[in-house]
Amino acid sequence: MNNQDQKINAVINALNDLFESRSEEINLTDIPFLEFKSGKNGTLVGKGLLWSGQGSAKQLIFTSNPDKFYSSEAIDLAAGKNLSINNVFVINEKELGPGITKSNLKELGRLKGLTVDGSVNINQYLFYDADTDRLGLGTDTPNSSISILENGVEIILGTTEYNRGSVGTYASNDFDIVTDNTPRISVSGGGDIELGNKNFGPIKVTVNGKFGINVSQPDQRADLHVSGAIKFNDKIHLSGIEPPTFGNHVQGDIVWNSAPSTNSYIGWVCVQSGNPGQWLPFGQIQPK
Amino acid sequence: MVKNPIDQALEQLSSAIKSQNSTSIDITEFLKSLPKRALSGDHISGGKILNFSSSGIVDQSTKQQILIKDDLVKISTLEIDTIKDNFNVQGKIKSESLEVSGLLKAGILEVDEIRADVKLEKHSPLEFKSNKEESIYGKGLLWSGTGSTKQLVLVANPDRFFVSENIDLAKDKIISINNVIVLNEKEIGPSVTKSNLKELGRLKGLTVDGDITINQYAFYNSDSDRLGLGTDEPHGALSVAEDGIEVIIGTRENTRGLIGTYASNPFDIITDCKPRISVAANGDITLGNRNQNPVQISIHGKLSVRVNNPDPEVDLHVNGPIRYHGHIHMYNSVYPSSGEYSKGDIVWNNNPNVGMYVGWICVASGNPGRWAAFGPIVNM
Repeated sequence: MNNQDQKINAVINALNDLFESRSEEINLTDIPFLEFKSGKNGTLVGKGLLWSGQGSAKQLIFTSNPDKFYSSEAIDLAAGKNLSINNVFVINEKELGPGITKSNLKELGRLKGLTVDGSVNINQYLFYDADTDRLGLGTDTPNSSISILENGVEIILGTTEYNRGSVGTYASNDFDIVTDNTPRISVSGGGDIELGNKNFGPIKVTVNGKFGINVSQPDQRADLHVSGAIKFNDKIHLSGIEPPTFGNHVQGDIVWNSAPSTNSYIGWVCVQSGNPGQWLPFGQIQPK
Repeated sequence: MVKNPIDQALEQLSSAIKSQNSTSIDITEFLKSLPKRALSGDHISGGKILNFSSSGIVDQSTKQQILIKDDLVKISTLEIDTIKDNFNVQGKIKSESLEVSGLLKAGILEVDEIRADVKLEKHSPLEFKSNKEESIYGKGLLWSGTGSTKQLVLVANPDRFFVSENIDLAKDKIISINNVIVLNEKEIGPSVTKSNLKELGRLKGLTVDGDITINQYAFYNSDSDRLGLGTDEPHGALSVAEDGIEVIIGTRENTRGLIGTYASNPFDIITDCKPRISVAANGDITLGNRNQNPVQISIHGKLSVRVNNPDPEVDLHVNGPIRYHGHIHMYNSVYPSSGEYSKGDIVWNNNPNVGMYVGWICVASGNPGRWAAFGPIVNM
């Protein structure tokens, strides 16, 4: 330590007493640092600035474990000033620095927008899986693009076979298409389809096109193409080469002759109900 | 014993006085007769010595400068080149400047200005103390002289350290409260859970406990576990409200899934963005679309119309009459006696028997039109 340092230290060693006694601010001109040096005990812990005499002592001191400056008071930056780390802006009065990318925030304000790269979990109810690109409501294992699981029933809305859109139930649950909150078309878990609703008045079903029943290649000449028998007014109309030999039939049931020829009959009609009932021909085919 | 010169002189003086009695003595001559440096200090008391000097002292004063008492030496003005060893001062030292090459200890040191590299080697902190006249508030560190004054001072209401400048922590250093991390260069501490952030970056993921509102359009209600798009009162697990129409997707009765409209609005099932199955608000169903080419509807199964117990033996089971090619086919025991009928309408005989006809055919339109029997039933 040179002579000048000794002089300076001599002065500065008394500085503490000076601050204790001075009520006015002191001008430190040309002082590069206010330096707290470790003394004989080799520690800096506890050294720093202390404001005392009014209430609890206010401290801004160095402490350890880990090394840090401890401030007993809030720190208030002037307007427009910020806090940075390694000269990288981290926070100011209104925003967090762009380098802050991780948090455990549980409350946010009213967001201006939201962009998420990755999965989303809302209230353990809405799950978006970034790997499968599927959205589940009430399920974290959605079976389609959108799955809604409610009361044990999973409704799926998505696509199949790369060319079909689909909506319905994933498991063997019935599915309704509703209007006015009333089922209008019901598809059972087994596939049965019901148009209209037994609990409400009859509806009108209009078909704009051809209607085929159990027909692989509907006849384009017919609006209604039924593969098998039809029944109306509770009477069956069958097609066959002869009248039935078994089965219950009612009076009025008709079997159309599937192999008509001149002088044969166009069909047979059940004239007495039974099994197979009594059948008689009708409509003899006349030669031209 | 040889007597010293002074004793001899005094002896001579005494004998002279004794012998001459009242004869006067010339003191000047007498002092001249004294040999130099023959007079002892013991012979001097009182009076003033002028132009006093010795080998170490020169008195050039014209008035008193030094007062020496048993317990002090009083000097009005003192010029000293060196004071060796320690000395104590009671009272104040006033000096235009003071240079201390070694340690300076002071009970209280008052200064207006200090020029120094400040190094505090004491164990206690640098302390700002209040006293009766002075508050601790407003005290602290100031950097002045260039631009606005930079401050780190204590202010009140509430108590806090006011910092006029940015604070820059070293790399990897953090801000903590009560030794709990709240902020570092890259993240907010996990205990910081509340904010009013209005903008976020591109999130890696999102987990929310509670309600969600997106742009006053998407509403997730955590109580009902319902998601509404365009409505905050969804009537289904997922409700989409658009143009005043609410489409719901959800379940019912714990067994059924459903999709459709909640209010009295029609609902379409579409492909190619064209309605294919339309359900009217009252439930009427249209398969296909009048405004499009006719479609093919296939039923792979049985079709029944207004039948409670469909006949499994038939593909089409209609409760009432049927009409095709513009003509009605119905069953009755007689041909109609009223109602509009057109030529070609057929009434099948529901009570056929031998000798009777299998049915009646309308041969002229009207009410009830003209009817003729056809298909005589013959006995086998």
